[in-house]
Amino acid sequence: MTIIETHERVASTERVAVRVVDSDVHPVPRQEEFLPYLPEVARRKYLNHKIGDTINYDAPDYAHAKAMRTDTFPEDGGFPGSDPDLAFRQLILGAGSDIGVLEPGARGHIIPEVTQGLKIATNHWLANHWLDSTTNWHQRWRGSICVAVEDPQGAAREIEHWAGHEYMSQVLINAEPRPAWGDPKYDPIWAAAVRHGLPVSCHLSRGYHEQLPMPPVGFPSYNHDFMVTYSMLAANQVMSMIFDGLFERFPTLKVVLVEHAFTWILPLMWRMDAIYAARRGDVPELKRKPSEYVHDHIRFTTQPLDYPEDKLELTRAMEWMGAEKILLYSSDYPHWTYDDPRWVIKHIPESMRDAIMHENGIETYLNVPRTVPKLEGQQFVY
Amino acid sequence: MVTPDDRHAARQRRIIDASVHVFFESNGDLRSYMQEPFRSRGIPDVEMDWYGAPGGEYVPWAERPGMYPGSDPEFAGEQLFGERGVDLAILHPMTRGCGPDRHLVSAVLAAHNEMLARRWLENDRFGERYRGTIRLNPEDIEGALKELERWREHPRMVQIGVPLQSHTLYGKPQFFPLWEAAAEAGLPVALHIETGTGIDHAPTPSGPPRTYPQYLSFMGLNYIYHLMNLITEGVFERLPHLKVVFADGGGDLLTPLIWRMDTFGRPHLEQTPWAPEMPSDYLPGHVHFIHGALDGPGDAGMAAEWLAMTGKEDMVMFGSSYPHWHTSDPYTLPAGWTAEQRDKVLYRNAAQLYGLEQAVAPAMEPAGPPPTT
Repeated sequence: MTIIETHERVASTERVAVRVVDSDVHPVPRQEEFLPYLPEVARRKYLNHKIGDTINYDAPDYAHAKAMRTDTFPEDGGFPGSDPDLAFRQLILGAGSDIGVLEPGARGHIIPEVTQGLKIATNHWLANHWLDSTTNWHQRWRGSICVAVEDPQGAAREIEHWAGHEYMSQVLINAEPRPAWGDPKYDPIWAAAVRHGLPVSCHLSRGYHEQLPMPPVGFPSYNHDFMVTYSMLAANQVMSMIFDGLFERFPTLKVVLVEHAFTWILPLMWRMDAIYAARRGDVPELKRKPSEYVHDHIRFTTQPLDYPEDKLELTRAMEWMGAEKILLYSSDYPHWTYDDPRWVIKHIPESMRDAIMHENGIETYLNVPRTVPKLEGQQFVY
Repeated sequence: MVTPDDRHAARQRRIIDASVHVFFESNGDLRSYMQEPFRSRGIPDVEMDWYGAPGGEYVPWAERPGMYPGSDPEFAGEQLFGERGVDLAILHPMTRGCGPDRHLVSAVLAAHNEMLARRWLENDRFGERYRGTIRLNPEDIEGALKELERWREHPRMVQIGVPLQSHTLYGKPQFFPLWEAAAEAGLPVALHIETGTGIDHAPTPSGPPRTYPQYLSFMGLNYIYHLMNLITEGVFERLPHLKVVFADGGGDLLTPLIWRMDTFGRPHLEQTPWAPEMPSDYLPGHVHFIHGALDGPGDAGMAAEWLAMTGKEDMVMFGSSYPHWHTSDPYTLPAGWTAEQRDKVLYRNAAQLYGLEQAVAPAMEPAGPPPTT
């Protein structure tokens, strides 16, 4: 892999077309950068005792790799994702992503206002340490307005605060809080997002206790039955958003389900359409078939790209689901489940490549341009 | 649109209805099959409160004044074998919820087993066409094993039935003796949503749904948690003859989720040496699904290709869920399926699973006009 060790931190005036929009990149704050931004309410509750590793459901070789790509640990001992320059060299220059949508995974708390405080701190930190003109000199990073969905009013305030930032491209929520997204209690969040043309991305955050998805029939035993069935949480969010009429209340809302896998949406669309045909009277506020709401309002990310032994089956499933409408490329850098863009394009039918690798991203996100300043030595993906 | 010609053509086939729901006539009827100290206990009705279907649980044509739907073996037999042209029906008693008192639940289930055997399987007119499900309580392993002993030699009991609802996934070791006994007895284990009111968790991972369609859409899919856990805990590895039937439909979700389980699970196999094979290798011969009214891509041209993926065509069995409102029709299966797939789903998969190849009784003449579905 070619890694450019030194470069001038000056954007070239020459521009190149955006070919790869990466919808899922994970920056991680260094504690000393992060803590100064913490609001008092969060400081009091969050910093009042030491918290160690809370890992449940561990990925292979966790004690060594911490569920990260082992080559992404910065040399200074920081955690993967804590060094913007290393991420830039590995992901943008080395792997060839043109835009990286940053999705920080802040720790949650039992008290919604405390979690909101952590999100507020995360947003300030992200704006000042990744999206600032010094760090983002190359204009390749885009940020997420992180909000605690369990505090809808606070979340709406936070969206208002950051809307208009030139590099904030979306709102980011965790997938786990209950009830599901169709509940009207969350309406202030959707209202604030659509007011500013921001999509809302929903990322799984694992966590513990209340912040885990609670399977109705019992907790899984291992990381693989846990993570595979995690998709059911997102599937249920889709069912809730559709059958609760969320997209009738917010006709311009776009929701991105990040890292929940996506091939399950194909049979789920059939299932929801069959239910709608049989039970239309139960949901009179719906005006269209569930699959039409999916195509118009919900996006999925490619990572984790799950594939059958016969790769043609994946191709067929992508054709049947209309993947060119609903998929966004994502890498999950720097996690161990990282999907490289050069690998992902091999699995995408050629006719869908532009849509999935960049067109859908440009259309979905705010502030993602069609061209970016040229970088010397950047990998060309396709 | 089903035409009389379609029905005539379909009648030339052999059909097993692998999921017919059976009820007591009334609470008094249930209690008459129970002994003290359970007979005078408080027992939930069979209907559900929050998650009941708006407008009613049953198809109108299965109802008759003074008769609880699915409680009369003669009336059901006329509808199933006469009007619908089914050859054999696998009966699955719907009971009274996963209650907190395991002794009481086991007593309720035992009453259902007794009723099923006496009233349906030994029915003079239709008993030959009925096969039964032994309802057992996984929260009471000792009681379940005793109840299994009572019925396992009954020639018309062909499977074990347990609730889809649980507090603990079925791959966990406390349930193993039951699966071991089922495999040893050669009886498949069917998971089905339990009716009545129990002490269940909310039906979705995000809590209670606000609409019936969301409940309906998610609830049956809870089988996925059990399936993945049965795989990772090595239950299929340890019990090569264990067969599981997911009886609420939703088999379509198997394809994407087993792709995911193979892809994501593979590097984790080092954590579960008791389940060393690729997850999808545990499906053939172990996993079956009822094909319900909400399943499949409908009449899309790719229906045959889809059914073949991940081996579903050998796992899926037609089951009507009669007399529930979503009772499905053997004559409206996807037009795009091949003749062989249709034969597998309507007959062959169930015949093999339940050992019914020799058992098919001659088709009955239609008793009257087909019911409108």
